Amino acid sequence: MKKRVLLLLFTILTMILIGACAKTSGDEPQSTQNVVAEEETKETDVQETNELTTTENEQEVTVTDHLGRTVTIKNQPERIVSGYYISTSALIALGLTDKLVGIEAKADSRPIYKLSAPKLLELPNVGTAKEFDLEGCVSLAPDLVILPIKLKDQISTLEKMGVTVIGVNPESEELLVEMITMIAKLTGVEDYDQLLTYYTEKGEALEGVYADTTDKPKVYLAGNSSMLSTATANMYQNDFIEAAGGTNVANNIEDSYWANISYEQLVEYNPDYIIIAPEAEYTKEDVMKDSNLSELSAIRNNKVFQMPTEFEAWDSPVPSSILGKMWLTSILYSDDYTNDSFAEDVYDFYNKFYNFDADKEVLAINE
Amino acid sequence: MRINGISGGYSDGFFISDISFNIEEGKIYALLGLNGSGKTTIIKMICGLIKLKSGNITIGEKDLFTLKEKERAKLISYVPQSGTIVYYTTVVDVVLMGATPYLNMFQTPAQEHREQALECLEILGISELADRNYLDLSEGQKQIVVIARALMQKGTYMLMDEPESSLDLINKNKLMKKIREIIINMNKSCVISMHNPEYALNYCDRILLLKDKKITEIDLKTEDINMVEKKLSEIYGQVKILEYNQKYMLYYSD
Amino acid sequence: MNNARKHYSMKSNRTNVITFAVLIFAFVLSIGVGKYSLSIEDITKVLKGTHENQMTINVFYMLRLPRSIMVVLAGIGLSMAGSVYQTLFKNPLASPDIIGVTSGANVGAAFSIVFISGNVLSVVFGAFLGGLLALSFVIGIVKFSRTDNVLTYVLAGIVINAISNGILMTIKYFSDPLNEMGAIEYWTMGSFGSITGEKLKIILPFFIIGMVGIFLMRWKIHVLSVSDEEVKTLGISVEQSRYLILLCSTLVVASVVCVTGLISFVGLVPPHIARSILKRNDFNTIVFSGLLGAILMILSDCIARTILPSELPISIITSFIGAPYLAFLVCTKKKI
Repeated sequence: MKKRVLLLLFTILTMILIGACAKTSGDEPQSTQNVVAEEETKETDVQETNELTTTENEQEVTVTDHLGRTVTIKNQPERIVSGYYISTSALIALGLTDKLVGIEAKADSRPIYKLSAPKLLELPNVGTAKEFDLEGCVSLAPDLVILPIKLKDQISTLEKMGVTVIGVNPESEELLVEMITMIAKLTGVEDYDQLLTYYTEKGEALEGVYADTTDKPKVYLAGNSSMLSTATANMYQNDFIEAAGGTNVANNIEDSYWANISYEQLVEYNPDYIIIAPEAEYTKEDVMKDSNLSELSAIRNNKVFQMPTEFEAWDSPVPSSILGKMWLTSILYSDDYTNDSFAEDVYDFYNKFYNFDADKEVLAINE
Repeated sequence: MRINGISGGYSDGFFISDISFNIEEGKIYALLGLNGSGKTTIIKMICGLIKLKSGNITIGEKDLFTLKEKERAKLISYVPQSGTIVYYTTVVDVVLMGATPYLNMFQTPAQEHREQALECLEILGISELADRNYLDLSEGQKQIVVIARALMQKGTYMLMDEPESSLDLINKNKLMKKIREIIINMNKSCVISMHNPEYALNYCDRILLLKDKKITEIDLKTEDINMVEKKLSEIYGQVKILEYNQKYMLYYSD
Repeated sequence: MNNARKHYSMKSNRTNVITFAVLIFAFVLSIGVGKYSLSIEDITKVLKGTHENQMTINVFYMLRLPRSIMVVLAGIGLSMAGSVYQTLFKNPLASPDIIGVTSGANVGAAFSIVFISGNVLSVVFGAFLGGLLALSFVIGIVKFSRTDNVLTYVLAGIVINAISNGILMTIKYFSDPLNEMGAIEYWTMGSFGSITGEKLKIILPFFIIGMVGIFLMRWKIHVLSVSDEEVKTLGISVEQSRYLILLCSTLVVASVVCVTGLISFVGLVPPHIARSILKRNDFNTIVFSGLLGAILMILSDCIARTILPSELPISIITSFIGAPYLAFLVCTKKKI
């Protein structure tokens, strides 16, 4: 008796499960087809609700994203979700703040949002790269979702659900430019080349500063997690140091991520400058007082600098990363490119692209 | 059952060799010997828990160890010193485990097995315990339940390893009486290893005396009581047997 | 004479039916809860196939339903496997996470993410082999130490967990920090956030095979709760049966954790509660603990996806429930 009831319960349960699954499997091919068909009706819905904004731009745009996928968009997106702080910042720079309906978690750790687009802090978040919230994202009814490529599983799921989504991988200046171009094309922003031109112009200007220097200063970039973690040859941070006219002492390490080194190794490098990453969990004081390092020339000459933290993480390939290079050049070649003119440039940059007045005082170097 | 010159032992060096005796149906054998004399080893060898190094055991024409475990379990059942149940389990479920040799790989006991299990409990007079939790029972009751499980296996031969060792005096006697009852009534045979020769004298038909890793068999029906006394004295020291009311008592004479 | 047993079997039937009803209720609740708003009306329309918004249909069939089903499967699977382990090892602490099977599975999955491929199928196999390897290590250590008690299993579990951690760190070191590392980290936290219909479909056959195996061998599991010697004389070849059963339950665990990541304590707590409610330990109790596990899991998951604006890893919640319970068990030394 008892066993039979048990058996029955078990069978019912299994049947429910199999039934439910069969349903998903049965419906799936159909539903992907439907997506294409339904897209039109859905979009007419959107048009009805947003009559004023979407009447002109009917042309199709196609781009290839950083996962090599071809993404086509028919109408200019009006509801954008960005799941990555770099693409969110790029959207601000492109003047698309008002179209954002959802961003990545931990937005309050990004000062640039508060300065340039405080509205973003109120937006619902769609989680982090570790805990991406698929349902939360879909519930925002986005017509364009921008995610880092590490969320490729989620990207393919969203795609199957009929959401337009691109994967971006801004890990170098080149990829950053690609990403900005991609977003600009999809959203119909035309003056994006102003930003890109700014990059090239300033880049060339920096090269001009150190063009005649043969013996470039040796720079040690201390990472966020510890003063003994450093940027290696294959990272953006290596290019960043070189573009600013320095030599990365750790460029012999071939890793593709922050590498941990020993005190001994650091003493052996004996850098001229120690640069502390902007989001470091330790202070300049900690480095200066570390007795293991007291003999380094950077310490003796008081050449330890923390990158400014007030705006963005300039050591990473954010849209304002050019400012990081400029900052470093102003440190390494302070005679040719002074701190004051750097502060002026920062003010102009944020004024032009991010629409706010940067506080020049915070950039002053106290030696 | 014929046990022909079996040898075996543990990996740590204890070894017992060339043991031979026969087990007849309807008889109870007491396996007597001092601590460490190898009583448990012999029981475990017969049950197939310790591999034989040489010799064989036959029942009729069949060699016991050419049979599968399952077939063996239908012939021989084993009653350990104490059952090893650690979780709440009903008495019926413990007894039902005895039906396992009659089930195939994926089978579960059916209603008929349940009825048989209840019968076994009834035979041993503990029907009222059927739905109690095994762990809540007294040691004596637990031992009877394990015997019920052995009964459930329907084997002719029951091997018990000091089944009374953890019981108090009253329960020891009760248990032995019960064992005797079922073995005689159901024409089974039984080998019980034990410490106290008194129980052997009172409840068993034959004694298997284990000394210096050799077996001496004593038939209590035919053997003269003085001879028994003499043989027991060889291992236990100077003992005398007293007869009173058709019961035997043992005392040390020195 | 039969009254008492009838009483028990009625009681246990009633308990199972009530629990099943609660589970169905919790399941319906979990289908209704989430970031995307789906009203009961929406759901009935979707089920009838008359809903006009394709996105709602997609969310329901591709995210919401698979997730809720996976939560139920994970609860049932981990709790039943835990219950089976506890019975087989005659040890109330032998749950897949405590004796190291889950972390072994974790390493297996990480290995396959980094060195083979990140697709779900190879992750299932990686997790399965990893779990099996961990299990054989535990059995090996216990056999080698010749002390078959609670402490040995816990210690063996600590050893396995430590080894797994070491291997995991090594694998992380060799992994691509941007893509694979994220996948591994995500794994060690456990979450139902990325469950989709597709993943569910891949793991379901493995889950069912394991479950059917456990179900078919339910009597063996019961008999294996006594000492090996007794089991042998009851006509079961101990090793063969034990490995077969462990294989099935490890398959169940692996098929769950390869898509959800590590979920702590779900293998441990429900079996205890089940035993203390039913006051029995037979297959009924194992099934019952599966149902309890499913309920616990659904409630934890509902909390995980609603309490904060972003999702909370499920293990945070199950640990907050499980760890105090474990402490309570250790302190009271209750009869199990």
